[in-house]
Amino acid sequence: MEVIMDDVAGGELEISGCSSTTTSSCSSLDDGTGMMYHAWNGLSPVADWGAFCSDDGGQDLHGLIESMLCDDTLVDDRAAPASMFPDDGYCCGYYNASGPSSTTTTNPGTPVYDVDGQQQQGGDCPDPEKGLRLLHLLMAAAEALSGPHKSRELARVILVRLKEMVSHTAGASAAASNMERLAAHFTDALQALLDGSHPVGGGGRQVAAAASHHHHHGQHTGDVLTAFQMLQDMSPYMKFGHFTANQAILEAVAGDRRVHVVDYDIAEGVQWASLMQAMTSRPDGVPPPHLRITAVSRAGGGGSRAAQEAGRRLAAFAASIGQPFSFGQCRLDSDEKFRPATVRMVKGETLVANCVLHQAAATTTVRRPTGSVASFLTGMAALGAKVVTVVEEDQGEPEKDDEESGDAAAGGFVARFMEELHRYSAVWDSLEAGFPTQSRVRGLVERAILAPNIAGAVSRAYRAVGGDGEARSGWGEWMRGSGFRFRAVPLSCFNHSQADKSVWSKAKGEHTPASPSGRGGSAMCAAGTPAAHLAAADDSGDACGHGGPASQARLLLGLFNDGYTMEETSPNKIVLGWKSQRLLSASVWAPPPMSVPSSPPEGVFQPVAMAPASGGVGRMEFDYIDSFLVEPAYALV
Amino acid sequence: MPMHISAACKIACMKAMNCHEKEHQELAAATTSNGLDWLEDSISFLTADVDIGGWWSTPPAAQQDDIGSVVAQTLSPPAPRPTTSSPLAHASPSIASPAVSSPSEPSSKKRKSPAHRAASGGHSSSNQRRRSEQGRPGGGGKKGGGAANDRDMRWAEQLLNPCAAAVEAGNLSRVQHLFYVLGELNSFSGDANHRLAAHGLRALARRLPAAVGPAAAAAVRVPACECPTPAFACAEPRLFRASLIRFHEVSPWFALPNALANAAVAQAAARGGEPRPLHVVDLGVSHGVQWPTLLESLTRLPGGRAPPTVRLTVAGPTATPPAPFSASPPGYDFSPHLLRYAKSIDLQLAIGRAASLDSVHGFVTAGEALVVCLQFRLGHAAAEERAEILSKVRGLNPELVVLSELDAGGDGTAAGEFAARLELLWRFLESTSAAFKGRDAEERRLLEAEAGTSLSAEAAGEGRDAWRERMAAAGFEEAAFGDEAVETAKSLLRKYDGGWEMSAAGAGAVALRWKGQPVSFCSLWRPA
Repeated sequence: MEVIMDDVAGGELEISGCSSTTTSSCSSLDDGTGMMYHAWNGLSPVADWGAFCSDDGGQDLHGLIESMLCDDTLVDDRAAPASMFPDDGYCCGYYNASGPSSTTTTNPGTPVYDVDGQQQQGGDCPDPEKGLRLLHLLMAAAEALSGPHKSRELARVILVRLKEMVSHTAGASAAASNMERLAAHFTDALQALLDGSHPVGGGGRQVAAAASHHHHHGQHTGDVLTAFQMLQDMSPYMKFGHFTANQAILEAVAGDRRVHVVDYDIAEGVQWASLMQAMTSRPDGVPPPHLRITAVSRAGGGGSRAAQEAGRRLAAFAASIGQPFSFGQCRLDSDEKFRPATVRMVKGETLVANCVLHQAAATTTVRRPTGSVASFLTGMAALGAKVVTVVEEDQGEPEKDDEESGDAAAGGFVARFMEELHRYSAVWDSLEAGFPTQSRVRGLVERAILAPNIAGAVSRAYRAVGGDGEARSGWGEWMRGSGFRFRAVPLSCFNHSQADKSVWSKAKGEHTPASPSGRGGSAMCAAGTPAAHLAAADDSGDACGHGGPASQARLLLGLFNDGYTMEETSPNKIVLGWKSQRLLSASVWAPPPMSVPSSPPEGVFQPVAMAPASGGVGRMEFDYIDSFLVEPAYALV
Repeated sequence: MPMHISAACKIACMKAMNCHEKEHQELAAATTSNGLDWLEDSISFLTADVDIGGWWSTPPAAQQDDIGSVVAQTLSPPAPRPTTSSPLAHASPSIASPAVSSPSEPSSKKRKSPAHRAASGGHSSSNQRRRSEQGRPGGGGKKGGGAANDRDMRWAEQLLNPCAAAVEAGNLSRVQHLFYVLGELNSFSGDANHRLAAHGLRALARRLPAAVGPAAAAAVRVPACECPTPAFACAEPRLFRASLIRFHEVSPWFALPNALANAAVAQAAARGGEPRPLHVVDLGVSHGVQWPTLLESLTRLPGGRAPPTVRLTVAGPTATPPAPFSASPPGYDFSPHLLRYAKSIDLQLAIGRAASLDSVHGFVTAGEALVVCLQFRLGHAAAEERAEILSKVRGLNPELVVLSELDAGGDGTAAGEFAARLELLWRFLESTSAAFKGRDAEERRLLEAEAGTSLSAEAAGEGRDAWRERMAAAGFEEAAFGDEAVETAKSLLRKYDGGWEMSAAGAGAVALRWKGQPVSFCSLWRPA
C-alpha cells in the first residue's frame, strides 16, 4: 500500500506536467480562434494518421495490430486486394470500410511489420515478432469460439499456448511488453468465454464479478481507487465522457432552479463532483441550482453499498463547496430492468438521464444485462427527462458487413473482438505515450481497471453476436432507431469563427482567476468566463458558444498527449480517439416529451428547445477530483 | 495466480519427462528381448538377431541381385514342426485386449494421462511447450458414436483444412494468419493433433509455391516446420528395420493386411493336386517383414503340399517420388536374413528383384503358382499409371492378385484430397499414439515422418468402390477370403489397441477401421 501511495505522489508530478501543457493551450486561447482551428486541424483524423505513419508508426502497438489486420501489404504483387480476400470479410473488410485506416494501410510505407521480418518496432517489445504471433493466436481463438465451425477444443488449445506465451507477464513485470500484457488480458477474457462465465441469459456477469470482486475485497478497493485516479490523470478517457455529459447537462438545465439527475451507473461519483464544481463557480454570481442525484443500483449485492458510499462522498463534497445537494437511490428489478416508478420525482425539477457505459468496470455499480440499458433509456423518456446523455465505447459506423448472412455471425464476433483489441491497443499506447516511465502505475491501471473492462467488452461482443445484445452501432443509434425515436440534441459548436471571435474578444477582459489552487486552473477558467456573453449570444440566436461540450472536450485534450483526437461524427455526438482509433463517444439526446409517463405514444415528437449556451464549466482543474478520490482512498487503506 | 499455474506445469512437465524416460527404457528392453512374441519362435531368427547389427554384418553375396538371380537355395527337407495353430492365431496373452469391436477403455485412459509433454524437438523455439494430450471422453466411440465430439477434438484439421483451402485459393493473408497459428501449435512430438499440425503445416508450406507462385509464396512467412526426423529414404538402416518390426508388433496398420495376404497366398499355394512352385511378386511396402510368416505357414500346409520352391520377386519402385512407406534407406537389404530363415525352416527360397513389372514378365515360368501382391503402392501412382500397372499384372496372368489399399478418396479438388489425406494421417497418428502407448519413441517418429510425406502426394486417393471398378476394368474378378483367413486375422487384431476393428468390405474383402473410420481394405482378385 505504501508503494501505491507513492504512486499517487507520482501523480502529483504528472499534474504539474499537465499544467505546463495547460499554459501553452492558454496561450493558444489568447491568440483567439485561429489557434483553435490550428488545433482542430492538428487533431483531424487524417492528418493525425499521416503523422502516425511517418513519425512514430513503428513504435506503436496499435500500428502493429493495424498492420496485422490489413497485412495485404504482403501481397502487393497480386491483383486487387479486394479479390484477395474473398472469405475474409471480417479480417480486412471491416477495416477497409472504416475510413482512414484503409487508405493508409495499403500504403507500402505504412506497415510496422515488413515481409522479411525486419521489425521496426522500438524498444517496447523485446521480440516484436512475438507480438504478431500473439495477435494471430488471439484472432484464431476468437474464430474458434464463434461461427459455423466453432470448436471449443481448438480454442482451448490456442488459449493454452497463449498463456504459455504471456505467462511471465503475470506479475506485470517490466519485462513484459505492451503487447504481451494486452494479450494476457484478452486471453483471460477469451478463457472466461470458453469456461462458460459467459452468461446464458443475463449479461455482464464478468463485469459484475470483477466489480464485486474488487468491491468485496477490502485490500483491493484501495488499489482500484488509486488506479482509477491514475487513469484520470493519465488520460482523458474518463474525463472526456464526464465533461462532455456535464456540459450538455449544464446547457440543458441552464436557468432551472432544481435539477434531478438519474445516473444509471454512478460508479465513484466523480462526474458529479465535477458538475457541482461547474455549478458553483458561475462567474455571473448566479447561485447554483439544487442538485439531486438518484443513483440506479442493482437489487442486492454491493452495488447499492458502493452507490451509497459515492453519495456520502458527494454530499461531503457538495457541502464543502456550497452546492445544495441531495442524494438518493433507486433499485433495478431482480431482472435488472429499470422501473420508472422507483424514482422519486419532485415537482419543479428538471429531470436528466445520465448513462455512462463501459466505464471502468472495477468501479461500476450496476450489472448491465441485455435490456437493462434499454429499460433505463425508455423509462427515463417515460418520466419526461429533458435530456439524456450517453457515453459509450464507440462502435464505429454501422457496418455493411452485417448484411452478409451465413458467416456473419462468425465474422461478427471476430470483427468485434479485433475491434476491441484494436481499441484497447490504442488505450495502451495512449497510456504509454503519456507516461512512458511509469510502468508500475500503468500496470496497476491495466490490472485494476482495464482488465475487467476488457473482459466485459469481449463478453459483450460475444453476446451481441447472439443477436440479443445491444445494437452494433451503440445505444445512440438504438435510441435514434427504436420505436422511441429519441431526438439528437446538437452539441453547441465552437467553430463559428466570427461569433467566437467577438465573444472571445469581449470575454478577455473579464477573465477572473477562479482557481484557488492555481494549478492548471488559470488556463481552463478562460473557457468559463464568457458565460454571460454566451447568454447574450443565445438571445441573438447564435447557437454556438465556447462553453459547448465539443470545445470543452477539446480543451480537455489539450492537457494530454497530442495523440488524442476529437471528432464530431454527428451534430450530437463527439468521439474521443487515440490517433486513428475511436475510443469513446458521448452523445446527447432528448426523448420525445410524454404527456403521460406511461407507455410512450409513438409519433409525437416535439422538438425540445435547448439553450445552446451555458454557464460553462468554470474551471477544469483536476485537483478537486484528486482530492475527491484520494480522500476515501486514504480512508480505506 | 498464473505464476502458480506455470510452476505447477513445470513440475508436471518434469514428471512427464521422467515417466517418459522410464517408459523409453522399458520399450528398449522390450525390443531387444522378446518383443516379437507375436511371431513366436517361428521366426526366431529375427529375435535372435535383434542385435540389429546382425542384419548388416553379413554382406549378402549378391548385393546387386537382379531378375532371376537366385540368391540361395535351401534344399534340405522340411523339419518336423510342432503342430501348432497358425502363428497368426497367437494372440499373446500378455497383451490382453478386449473384443475387436469394443473400444479399449484402459488404453484410451492411458492416452489421456500424460497431460503434459515437453517438446524435445530441436525445431521448437520455445523450449517448454505444454502439449496436453487431448481428453477423449467416450473413448474410441463405437462406430460413429460421438463422431461430432470426436471431430471437435480434432482441432488440427480445423486449422489445416481452411489453410489448404486458402493456399489453393491464393488467399495469402488467410494463409499467413493460419501459418502463424499453426506455427505456434505444431510439434512433431506432441499429441496427435500437434503432430498432425506439424506434418500438415510442412506439407502446406511445400505446396504453397506451386499453388500461388514462387513470388507470392516468398512473401509469406513460414514458421519453422521441418520435420527433425528423416523419412524412410534417409533413415538410419538399423533404426529403419527396428521401426518396421516394431510397427508390425504394435499396430495392425500393415500387419493385418499382410497377415490376410499371407493367408490367401498360402491357400492359393495349396490349391491343385500336386505341390507346385510358388512365385510371389511383391509390389508392396513391407520391406521383407511380411514374408517370414508366409514362409513359415507354407511349411505347415497340410498333406505335404508345401511348395517345393518359393520364389519372391520384389518389384522396384514404381513412383517418383516413391510412394509413402515404399522407400528404404540405402544399405538396407532383407534378403540374406530371409534366406537364412528359409534355410532354417528347410524351405527352398529364391529372392529376385525386378526393376519393373515388365521384367517380372520374363521371369515367370510355367507351372508355378503366380501370386501378385499389390500392397499400398498402387494408390500413390497416378491414375493412368495405375491402369497401366494393372494391365501388366493382368498380362502376367497370375493365379491370384492381392490388393491392399488405403480406403480414402477426396472429392477431386486439391483441398478435398488434402482433407482426405489429412483425415487418414490423423488416424495414423492417433493409432500410433495408442500403439506406442503415448511414448515419443524414435521408431514412432520415423514411421510418422514417413507417413507425413503422404500429405504431399500428387495422386488422388481412391475409395474401395473405385478400386473395385478399376480392377474389374483391368479384367479381374473379385474373390473372397476364406473363413480361416478371416478368423486368423481377427484373432491377430485382438492383440492390438481396442480402437481397431475389422469388417467385411463386400464381396469377400476385408476392411480395417480405426475408431469406426475406414483405414484400408484388403481384397483378392483373379483374372476374369
